[in-house]
Amino acid sequence: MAESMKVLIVDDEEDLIVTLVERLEIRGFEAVAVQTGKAALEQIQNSPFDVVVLDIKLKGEDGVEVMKRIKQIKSNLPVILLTGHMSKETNEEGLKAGAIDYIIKPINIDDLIVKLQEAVELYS
Amino acid sequence: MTDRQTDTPGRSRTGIVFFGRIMANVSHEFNNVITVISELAGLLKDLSLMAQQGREIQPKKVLSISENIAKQVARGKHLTSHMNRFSHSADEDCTGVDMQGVVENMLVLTDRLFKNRKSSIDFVLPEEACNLHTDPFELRRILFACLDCFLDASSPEVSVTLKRLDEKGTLELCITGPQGEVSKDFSAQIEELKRQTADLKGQLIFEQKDQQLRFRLTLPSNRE
Repeated sequence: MAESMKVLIVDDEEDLIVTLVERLEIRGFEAVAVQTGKAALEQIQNSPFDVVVLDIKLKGEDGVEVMKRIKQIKSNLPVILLTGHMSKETNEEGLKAGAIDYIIKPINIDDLIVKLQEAVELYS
Repeated sequence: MTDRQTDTPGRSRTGIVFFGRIMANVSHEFNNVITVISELAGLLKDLSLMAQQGREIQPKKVLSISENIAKQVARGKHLTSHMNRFSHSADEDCTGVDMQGVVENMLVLTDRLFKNRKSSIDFVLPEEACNLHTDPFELRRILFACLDCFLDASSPEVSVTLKRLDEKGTLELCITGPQGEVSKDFSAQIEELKRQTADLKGQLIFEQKDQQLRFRLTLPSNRE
């Protein structure tokens, strides 16, 4: 159910995450956004989330490494990777590392919502 | 189109690899600009649909979104302007070059790439015009290679200074920063950079003192 879904968004692009949070909240999600892997791990340790949307390339950080650290804290927390790459190989690497799905920028909000719902259903 | 003076098969390949790295980095940045604009446009659509359903939308909110779109468009334009400058640097193999413009061009195009390495580069602007007659593309390639090599051994805050050394118009560009972890092939990379700099009739000197590293790149006012 969208109303009970809490999403953590991790991307270093501030204007993007602020807008994405607003658009998800309009659609009934509860959304929190941070810009670094460190901030993401702090959020996950302190609050329950249903799903994480994580940029694969954060400034100065490898998104896949951040994802692995997330999984160490909460192994059953689904992570959807946000990527600018059209390369199938790059995106499949993320899936092999533990992501449940990926979405390519620019984001189609309807596609994102479907992926969020599928991710939560799979892990519930 | 004539062959560039500095072209050999190996050198051409190096140039292509350089061009590819820069374009990959810039395309990533440009995609981020498009993504933000797309989200902002999507938000405007969301608000319009809400207004159609009778919900009150604040004009200030709409204005803020449109201003943000304008900001991203300006950011995108800044990037494409520098991409264009970079692309046209390959047009001629010896022409008048504004060295300050070259440094600024490369720092804009590599901003995210070097920030991803947790480095920040402070460019101290020269006090006077720094022009030379050389290969603009090779100059950019060597400058990038120097920064790339230097940042492998120094972080996180690096400064770049540029000045005229003498009345003949010889330029000196210095890259300075604290010594970090130096890799085994750092010396070999420096020797290769010295060789490449010599192709532009320039000189690269590496200095290491008191936990500080420095590259001193000197270039003649006219390569020919």
